[in-house]
Amino acid sequence: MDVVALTVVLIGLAAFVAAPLYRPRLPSAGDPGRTASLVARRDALLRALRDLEADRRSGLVDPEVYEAQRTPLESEAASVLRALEMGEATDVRS
Amino acid sequence: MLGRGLILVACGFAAYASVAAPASMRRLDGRWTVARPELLDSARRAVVAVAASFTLASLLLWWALFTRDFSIAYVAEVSSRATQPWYTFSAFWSSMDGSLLLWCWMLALYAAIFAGARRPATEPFLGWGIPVVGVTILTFGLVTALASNPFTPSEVVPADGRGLNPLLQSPGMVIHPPLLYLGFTGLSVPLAIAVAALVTRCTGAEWLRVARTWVLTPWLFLGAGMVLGGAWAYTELGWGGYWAWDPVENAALLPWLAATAFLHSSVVQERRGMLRVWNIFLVLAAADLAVFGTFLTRSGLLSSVHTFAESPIGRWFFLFLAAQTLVGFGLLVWRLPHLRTEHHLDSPVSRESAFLVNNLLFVGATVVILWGTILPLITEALTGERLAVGPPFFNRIMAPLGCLLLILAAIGPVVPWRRGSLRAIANRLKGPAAVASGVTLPLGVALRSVAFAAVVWVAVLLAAASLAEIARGVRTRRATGAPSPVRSAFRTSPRRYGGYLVHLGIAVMTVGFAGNVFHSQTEVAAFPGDRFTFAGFEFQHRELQRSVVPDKDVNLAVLDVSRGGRRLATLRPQLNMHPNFDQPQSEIAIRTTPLSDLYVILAGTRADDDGGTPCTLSRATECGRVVYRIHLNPLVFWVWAGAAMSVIGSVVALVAGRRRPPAPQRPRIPAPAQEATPAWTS
Amino acid sequence: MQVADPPALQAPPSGRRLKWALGIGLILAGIGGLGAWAIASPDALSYYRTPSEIAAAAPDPQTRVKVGGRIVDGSLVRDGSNVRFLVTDGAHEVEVHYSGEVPDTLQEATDAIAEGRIGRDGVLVADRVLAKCSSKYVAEDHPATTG
Repeated sequence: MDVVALTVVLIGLAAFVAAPLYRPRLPSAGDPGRTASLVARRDALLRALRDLEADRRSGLVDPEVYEAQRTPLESEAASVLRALEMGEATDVRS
Repeated sequence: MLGRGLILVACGFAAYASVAAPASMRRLDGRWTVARPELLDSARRAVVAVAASFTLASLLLWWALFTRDFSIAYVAEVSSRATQPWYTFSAFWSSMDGSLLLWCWMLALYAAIFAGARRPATEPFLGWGIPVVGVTILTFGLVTALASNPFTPSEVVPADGRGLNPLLQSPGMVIHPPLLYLGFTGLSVPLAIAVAALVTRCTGAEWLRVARTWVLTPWLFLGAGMVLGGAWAYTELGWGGYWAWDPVENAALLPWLAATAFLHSSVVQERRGMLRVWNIFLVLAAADLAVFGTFLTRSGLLSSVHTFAESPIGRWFFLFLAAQTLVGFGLLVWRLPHLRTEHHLDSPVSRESAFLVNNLLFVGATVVILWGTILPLITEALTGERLAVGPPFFNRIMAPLGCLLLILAAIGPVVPWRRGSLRAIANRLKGPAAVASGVTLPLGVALRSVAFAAVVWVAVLLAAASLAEIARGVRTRRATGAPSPVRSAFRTSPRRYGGYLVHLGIAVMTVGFAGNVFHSQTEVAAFPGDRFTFAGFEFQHRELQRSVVPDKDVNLAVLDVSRGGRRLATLRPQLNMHPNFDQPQSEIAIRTTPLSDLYVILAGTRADDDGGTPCTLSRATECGRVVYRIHLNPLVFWVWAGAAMSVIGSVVALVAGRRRPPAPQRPRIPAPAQEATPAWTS
Repeated sequence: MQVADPPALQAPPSGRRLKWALGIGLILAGIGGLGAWAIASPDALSYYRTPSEIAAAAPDPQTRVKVGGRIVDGSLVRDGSNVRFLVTDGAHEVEVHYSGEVPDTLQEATDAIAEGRIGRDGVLVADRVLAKCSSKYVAEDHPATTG
């Protein structure tokens, strides 16, 4: 009885696990890793800009320092957003 | 038979997944890609199959428990026909074998969520992350199935089981182990991610974000588990305290410290790309300390309140721990050149620098606590000398280190990135410092304790600073006309404001810890009707009631508590005898106020020296004399209040942060010269 | 898989690096010192000793010891709120004085562990007595009054 139940479970799970092997797919053309990486970077930059703004408003950061730190962050954010959009465009096309 | 078979099936699939996942990867031009996605899919499904198998095995054990199947030795050992439903449920993890199965099951569930969920952010780490969790599950599963099988049949099927240890029959013990295990096992996933990141050299923003997400949950569970464990020790074990620096308690604290350090340190990498080596190191350390914890408690090496009986499986855990540590740190050293950045700290007065000191303090505390925990082992191995390290050692380290950490927590949010000035920090903190001094100076003078005043000063500083920052954020939002400033603050910066709440909670807990300085206790023998005083209270012992219920003999003492002639409460501590367990078990009576706890234990009876006949527990009624042990525990209430605050703050940060940071409207791809108004600052 | 991190500022001169290393070293040394100080404090460590080991070499009256053994028949005397008994490991005995109430779990011919300091007279003044109850130890705790 136990053996039967165990065998049923084993066969069921094995079928579940082996199923993808019978439907080989081509490796995806896109690079999901890269997109995820860009998204992570974008969110981090946005968060940094938000915190920088909050620091400036609460007087923690002088206006000149604020400008000096904001500019590189913003330009990087812009380039990351651009890269994301181009990535999307490629996906749409392909 | 079926149970063990299910565990072995799970092990089989874990082994398969550990081989199939990396086999699906190929290295092209120095980058790892998924060359055979169907193989990776199969591996992912295998991890889900592992979880399914362990779930079935666990359900089987519960089935056996609830149907009182005493043909299984474990069921007979931990339950009986008289055991109540909730405790039958928790009997699952009340002893070694079942708790190991619980461990495997939770690990498998975490792994299944990690491997099974279709999230683009996790994809890069599956190929090399699945073998890490797979081998972990395989090891623990094999140990469970082969050396510590909860489904072992009874040699002789008893008519009734022994029942659950009365010490474990409390609501706290129903939740405490699962919570802790959810903490320990959950740290295997960030480990897998870290290893995968090192192998594939994806150690940038994407690694950090995924790792952070996967550390937060076990960190929360470990914290909650420790607090509940302390509450259980306080209300059930009856030694008057909530934390004894027991090796098993330390086993949960150590990975928690490493994880806390990581959660802080990761902010620096996110913002400035620094401390990358630190972050990997901290994740590896947290996972290694978690396994070390289970090794300690199960090998019987250290005698403590919790330790399971000595068992040979300890050596398997040690081997696994050694392997996990060597592989992790080996990879770290190998990838060191890749991890190093060109960034440097601009100034010792900066937020980066504060986080660095934070790391050093946390790691320092972890190392010293670890050292104190294993010192008995080392000295016995080297010199044969058997010694024990007591709470005074740990308290003496953690009091100053804790205070330094709290001060840092107050300074951190108010020092800017890159370069700050001491004067600006002092300016910002002068308000909270004034509040702290105003509160503690009179206290310190009145109570005549420098130690107490110093700790409370630091705690109030942190509390006031955190509240001030929250207020400041809310005020600026209100000034810009935001509709609901508090909610907007938490929603746009959940990490920051949740963090303030957590720090506030920790500050409150610290005030609770400080109350220990004024702890006192007494022991009194009393006949019915006797009065006595202690700590400004008047007590009167009224009577001792005896009764018998199905699985225990109950001795209940009735004690009136008054102050200034006015009756405050009637406390009813118990001292019960469980025939199956041959040990007396106390029910503590506690009267809690924010100022202090009155903690009353019925310690027993006293030899009757009139006539020379010893007054045993069973003759307590005839003798009539009882012995009370009473503790005065000041400010303990604030430990629990602060803990609740911290947990709420963590949950708020987690939940509120689920919303993506408000995405800016898609800017027309701006030429860099164009002045684009930041849309994200609303 | 790597997105460029923000560009670096100029590398610091080696003098500054030395200062950083010094600062970090100082913090670590401070923590280490704290640990050393804590372990050296009076109640931090306690040593397990059998009665035979004590008979062979009297321990320093300043160190905390834990002595375990079986309570000798006929030696358990409850006198007021004090308890006296002898523990033995079969070869030697140690006299234990404990000031406080001990309930019935502490009986003759059972195992116990007493923790405290041994004076020059060889008597262990215990502030903690654990009485073994079959498989578990049940602790009795009483803070030391004076030394």
